[in-house]
Amino acid sequence: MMTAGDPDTDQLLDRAGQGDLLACQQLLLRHRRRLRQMIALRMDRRLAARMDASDVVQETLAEAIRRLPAYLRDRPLPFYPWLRQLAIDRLTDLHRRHVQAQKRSVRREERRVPTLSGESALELAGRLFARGSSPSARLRREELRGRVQTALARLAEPDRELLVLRHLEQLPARDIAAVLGITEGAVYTRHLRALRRLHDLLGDELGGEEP
Amino acid sequence: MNPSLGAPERTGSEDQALGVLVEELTARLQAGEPVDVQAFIRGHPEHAAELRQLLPALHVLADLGHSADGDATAAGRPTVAAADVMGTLGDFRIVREIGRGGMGVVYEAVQISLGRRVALKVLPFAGRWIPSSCSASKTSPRRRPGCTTPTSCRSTSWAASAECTSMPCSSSRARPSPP
Repeated sequence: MMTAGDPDTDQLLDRAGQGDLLACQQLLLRHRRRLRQMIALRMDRRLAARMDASDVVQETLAEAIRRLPAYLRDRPLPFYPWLRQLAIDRLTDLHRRHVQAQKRSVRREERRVPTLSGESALELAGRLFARGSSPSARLRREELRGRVQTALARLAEPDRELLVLRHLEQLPARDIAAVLGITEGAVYTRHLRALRRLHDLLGDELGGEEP
Repeated sequence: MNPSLGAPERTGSEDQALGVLVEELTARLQAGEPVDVQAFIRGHPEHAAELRQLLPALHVLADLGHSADGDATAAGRPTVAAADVMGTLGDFRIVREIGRGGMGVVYEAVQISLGRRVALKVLPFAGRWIPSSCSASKTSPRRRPGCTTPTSCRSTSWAASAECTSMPCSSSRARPSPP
């Protein structure tokens, strides 16, 4: 998986900064799949009923093309975290317009914009454990799904967000550090802390899972 | 470090060292690399107890990650036999030509990164990377996301190396509006 720190990405950024249009396109295209996966994970179910994650990806990439020259001048973040932030902003905006506007229109109580991971993480386990091969494997996964779902729901938001970033989005520590605005060392210790808390919630039940 | 699993007393530096080990294990598991867990633990006896304790959760999370990755490329996406492919253009595998007009050509294609079938409109003025010049292509047609007929779908992509737009299609036989 490509990350913002890959030499290839850095080379492409340098070429893009020199006006290489093909490099610009390659930069955006190489992260499209990761971006779609991230959006699909975090997209509110009500929003997902109205549009596909691929549409959000395309709109994000169109915005990225528009903003790329400014990014190349300043490079405030590694490339993928920057691109991801554009997608999060787009998703938040869509949520506000489509979901919250709908709530207002029916005069329901208006809430703050939900943290994307906070709301959708509760459904993550359900979505992610949906696959399975044999009936017994599916049954086992089904049992595990319930446990993980409960544990994720009980985790504090910072712990859950760290696990989502590291294990579901599979961002490397360097990118997580950029996304959260903390050091790489802090990512390691927060990851460890989140794992301990997840273990505390799951520990005994996962005893049989240990290889 | 107190190896007691109930209430271990840890220092910041011990946590930092253990965090680095956990990160190494995570990266290897995510890469699908076979990990000799026992050998790994033997190599770090000072953290053996807690590594053993955290491994099940790490495995579950690695499985979650792989499932997520698999879902992103799961079945249900259109596949095209190699023999049917006319060639590639950027992120698009061109399947066949489905329309031609004065301003360009429309192809049935598969968007490789997303694995979906699209109608691809290619304009003959490749190489001009001027967003404003593509505005008409980007906005026409634009009525609703997704589509059952290409005449009522929205443009969802455009490439910098060649002026083109793509529209997700559910019917490869339906004909789009003239480019």
